[in-house]
Amino acid sequence: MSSPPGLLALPAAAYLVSGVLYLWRVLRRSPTAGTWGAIAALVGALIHAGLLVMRFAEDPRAVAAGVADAASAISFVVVVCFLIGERLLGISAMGAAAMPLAFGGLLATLASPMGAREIPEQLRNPWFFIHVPSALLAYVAFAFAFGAAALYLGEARLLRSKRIAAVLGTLPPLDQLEHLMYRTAAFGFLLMTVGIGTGAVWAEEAWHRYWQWTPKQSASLVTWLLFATYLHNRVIRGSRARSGAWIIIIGFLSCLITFLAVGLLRQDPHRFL
Amino acid sequence: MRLLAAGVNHRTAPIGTREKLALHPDHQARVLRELVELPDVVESLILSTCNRFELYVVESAGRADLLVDDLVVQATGVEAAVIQPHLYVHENAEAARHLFEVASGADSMVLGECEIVGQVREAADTARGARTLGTVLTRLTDRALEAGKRARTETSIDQGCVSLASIAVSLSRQICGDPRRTTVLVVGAGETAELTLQRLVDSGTRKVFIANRTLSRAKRLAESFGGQAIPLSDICEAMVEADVVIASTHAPHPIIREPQMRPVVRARGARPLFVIDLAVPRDVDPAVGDLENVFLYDIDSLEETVAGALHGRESQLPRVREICGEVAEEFWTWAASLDLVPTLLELRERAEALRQRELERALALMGELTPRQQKHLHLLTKRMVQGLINGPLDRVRAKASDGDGAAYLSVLRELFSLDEPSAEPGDEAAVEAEGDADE
Repeated sequence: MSSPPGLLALPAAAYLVSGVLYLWRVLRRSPTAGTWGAIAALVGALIHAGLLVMRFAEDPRAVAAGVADAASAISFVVVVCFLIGERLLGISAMGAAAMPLAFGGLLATLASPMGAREIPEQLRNPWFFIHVPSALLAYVAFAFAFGAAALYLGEARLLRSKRIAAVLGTLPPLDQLEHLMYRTAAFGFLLMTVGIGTGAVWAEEAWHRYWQWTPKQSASLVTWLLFATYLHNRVIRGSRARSGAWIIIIGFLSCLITFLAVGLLRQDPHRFL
Repeated sequence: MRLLAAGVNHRTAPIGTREKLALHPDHQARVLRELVELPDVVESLILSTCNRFELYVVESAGRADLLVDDLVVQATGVEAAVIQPHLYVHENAEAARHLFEVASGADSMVLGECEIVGQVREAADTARGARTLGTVLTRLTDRALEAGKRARTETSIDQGCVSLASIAVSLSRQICGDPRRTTVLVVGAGETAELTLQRLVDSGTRKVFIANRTLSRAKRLAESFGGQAIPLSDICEAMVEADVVIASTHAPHPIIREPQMRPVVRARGARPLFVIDLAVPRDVDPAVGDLENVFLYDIDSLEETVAGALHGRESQLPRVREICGEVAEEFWTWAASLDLVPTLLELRERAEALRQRELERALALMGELTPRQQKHLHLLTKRMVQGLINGPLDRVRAKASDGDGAAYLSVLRELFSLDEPSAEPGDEAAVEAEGDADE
């Protein structure tokens, strides 16, 4: 059982609407827009959940069959995590970053070929269930670290230029953003370490080499090093938040490259994702 | 009867003049009593805050020569020449309207601020305690509180953050997050600093450090806020731990400088530091604000923020004034008819007495009547009397609220000879004769 890929345009549209509403909430300081944004996100997530179930009910491994499916799954997790985070932490402003990212993810899905549904033989391996979820969840965590870092930099700038009216009651406390940035980055780093470690072991089994500097491996290593630098500075050197926020932003961009650009490279043995 | 108001406020007088007029709360009752001991002054009220000094009196005789300016001079003991150029004077409905606008915050430095409501209530309580609050001023202050409440509920004049202290508290929450995990350091202790600290402590501050040049004062403050007093030399150590720093010393030069802050900022790691400089001249070197993770606000930037937060409140002013006008008009209609009340009552009593007398006489002459017939005679006479006098009395009342009350009152008394002893025996005989002739 599978669903026509075009149907993903429905949740994509809902995420777009929701993202615009959350942006409106931050820029125009309208709490009502935030409420409608949450409703749009929820509606989109419900449709999206249905489509994901239809697509992956047969074999969950299909999630790693290509960039299209992985991006769709990541978008879904981002939206769900955001909606839960909004409830628990009251960080509505994150919607202005999370929802456009989710929309972008689905856009990547819609743009890339869904292609053949056959699942590469190599994926039929128990490592799959550790390696793939940890890597995908690491991306989700980095997406949130990125959102928090972007909001942090924006808010710090507004506070410095004394444009308080734009901040009060609209953005989460600066300190909370810094903590969110740190925790999501640390969580993502942990998952990515697991992902790279299991990937190496699996590679040894499949290709008889732990590490062969494929574009995917190299790019993930760069991402991993960037987040390692951030965490090192934050924990050991007690670095200030602004430079940390910039490292996180670069780290997330590197993560996007790891995921998208390299994922689309056909020559990579890691081509299925 | 006249209601008179006179005073100075932040718009008409500089702080130097207002200081001179400010009346110590302990002396207010005595001054209020002295005022009502003056001839024809029957009620008095004083509203004295840091932004205004206002005197409200009710004068009973309608004497045009009683000048409220003189009363202000007498109440404050300040020379007339000092006060006169700054004084504004209002009378009757305008005076009421002025107090209503004051109570609704339309006349405040920070538009719509709520403190004034409490101050009006306190002024009324003081006057009540001194027994100088009569019918008119009691009603006036009640209506003022009502107007203040209406202005704030029916318009958005009080929306958004207002005072400097509340802006500082909102900002500290915005920068440092949960107030229950926030540590505050106060350096020096001015009034605003204390108020700000109070607000922060109310919101649940974790820890408070108080540093002052004189340690004894720091200790006294620390005791009242459950904090810890430290010498000025230890503020750098305290700043490593603190999240919010409030500086308000009287020092002539900055006491927190950029070089000494560098190690502090480094030791703090990723935690943001919110520095509020309330002192003039400033306590914190502006270069400190350029350090990473330090958010420095001096009194000007905070006041700009207050002004920014208030932006849009001016738009509410016409509506607030409208509300105050409505309440004032209603109040004055009532107050102006107060003078008429005895006369109107007297007139009604006379008419009623006449009716009763004539009715009894007629009933006696008519012999046996059924209860139904008696009832109808009662109603008939009642309606005739009321029909004749109600219309004119209402019109007199209306004239009174326009300010013509006194003239109409004297005409009324003259026409109905209310100032002469009533019901002369000769009259009765004449009426009787008339009645007989009709029969």
